[in-house]
Amino acid sequence: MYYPVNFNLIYILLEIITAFIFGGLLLGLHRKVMARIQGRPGPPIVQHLLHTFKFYIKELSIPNTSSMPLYVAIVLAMDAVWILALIVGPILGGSFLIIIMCYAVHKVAEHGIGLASGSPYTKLGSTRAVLSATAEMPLIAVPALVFFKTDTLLLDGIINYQIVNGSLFTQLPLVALAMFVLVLSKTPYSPFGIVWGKDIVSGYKTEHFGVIRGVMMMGEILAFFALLWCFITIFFGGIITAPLAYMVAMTGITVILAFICALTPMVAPYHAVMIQWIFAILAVVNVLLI
Amino acid sequence: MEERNLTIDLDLFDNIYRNLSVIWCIKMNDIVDINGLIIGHFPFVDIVPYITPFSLALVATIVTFTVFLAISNPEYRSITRFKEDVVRKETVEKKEARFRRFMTILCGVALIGVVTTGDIFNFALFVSLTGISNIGIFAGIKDTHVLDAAFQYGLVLMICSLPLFGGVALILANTGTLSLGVLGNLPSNQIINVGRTLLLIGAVGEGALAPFFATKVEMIRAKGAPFINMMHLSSLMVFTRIIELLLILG
Repeated sequence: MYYPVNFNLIYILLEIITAFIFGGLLLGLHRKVMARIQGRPGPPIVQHLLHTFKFYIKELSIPNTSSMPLYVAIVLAMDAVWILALIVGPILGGSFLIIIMCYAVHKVAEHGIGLASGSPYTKLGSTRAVLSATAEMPLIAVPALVFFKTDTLLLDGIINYQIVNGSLFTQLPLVALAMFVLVLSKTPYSPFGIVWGKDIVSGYKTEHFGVIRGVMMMGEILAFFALLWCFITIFFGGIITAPLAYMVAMTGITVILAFICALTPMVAPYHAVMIQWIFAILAVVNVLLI
Repeated sequence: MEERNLTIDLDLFDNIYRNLSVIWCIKMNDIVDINGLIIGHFPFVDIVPYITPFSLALVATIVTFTVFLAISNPEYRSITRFKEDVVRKETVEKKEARFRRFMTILCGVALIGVVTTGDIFNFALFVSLTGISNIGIFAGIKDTHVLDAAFQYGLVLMICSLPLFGGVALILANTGTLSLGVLGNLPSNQIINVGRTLLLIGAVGEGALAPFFATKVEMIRAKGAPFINMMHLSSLMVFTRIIELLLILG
């Protein structure tokens, strides 16, 4: 249940540092697996973390066309929402709707980061961020359908339901698939990653360098960790409870994501929209069938 | 002339107030199951704005974004033309920026109303206000493509206000209340389900969510990053709140 007395600042800090390091290693593993599938040796697994730290000691340069202080503040907002998600989810076992809100604000942040620099490439990235907001459909479908099944959206309540009634993954497999698509869309090199496509240089990230880029990468690592944690908790909450089991499950899902990212080309923006709608409709069909 | 005694029985009012508060608190189970513990509520008879961790997170996000967007300067755009060896920088004119900044703040205030209200009619009103302020953000732009898209969005806004308020009216006619605290504990029926569907269609149209998002994508071609970002924020905040609302009504 959701009580402010659960706040323990040291514990929260440790949780965030753990999420950052383990999330960074997972993204490193993701790159390594992708490289091996494509017949390349690939970077070491710690490379993503080193890459993030590297930006913290690089010179910060802000384009003179940028919108200040939005250019800086919006990147910090991206980190802040995922720190909130980590506090609400793993620490407090609070409402799943707050995690959904964090996902939505992440999309607003992507849009703002792209707009704030004044560059046409980042602008294209931000336009695609608005277009990709059609992932709204699985976002509506997943919490609604989970609520219809469990009568609660509190993460602790969902775990308790699964301890009594078995894993939600076996009861709502297509809803799990819709949530998996949401996680996939936030994975680097994803087929739905149209916002940072290399056809538009690096999309919304193109004009962010130095410390700001490091902070942005930290936000992405926390987002990846939080979404994986959420996916495992909501659909395997009754089976996976120990921290070690969570780490093994997260590693397994990362490997599956890496296979999908390595073997699937980036889809066109309108196809990304269409595919995500199909998964949301499949989730609704799943609930109607049961 | 006969003197009238106009003293008010304060005890009676106090009793009614307390009873309504108690009834409302007992009936908040659905909201607690969705949002978490209720931190506070303001019992204005049956219209009860409430604060939960979810609404608190939404309000904190909206206030932070509104403040930063309101104090940010618009970005510059580098423009180059064929046969000109010059790079020009363009930005939003001061007069236009002032009006659009005002609309951005108005949109932020309306959003706070959207996420805190405990009454579905107020919800519909605030959602309409976010739609109107969004149109205001784009109305002053001197770009044909953007104005065309804003016109299309305006049409969607007007059309979707019918299902939005129609859904509210249907729910009121069927249940006799607009309070989410009471509605959350009433058994659902087909009329409420139709009302919910209409409410969803209305909110989706007013917030320019999928499948009405095409005009929004066209509109954000405009200059003025801080103002445009507010439109996307308002869409996604309305979307987040409507999920909660539909689940409570269920």
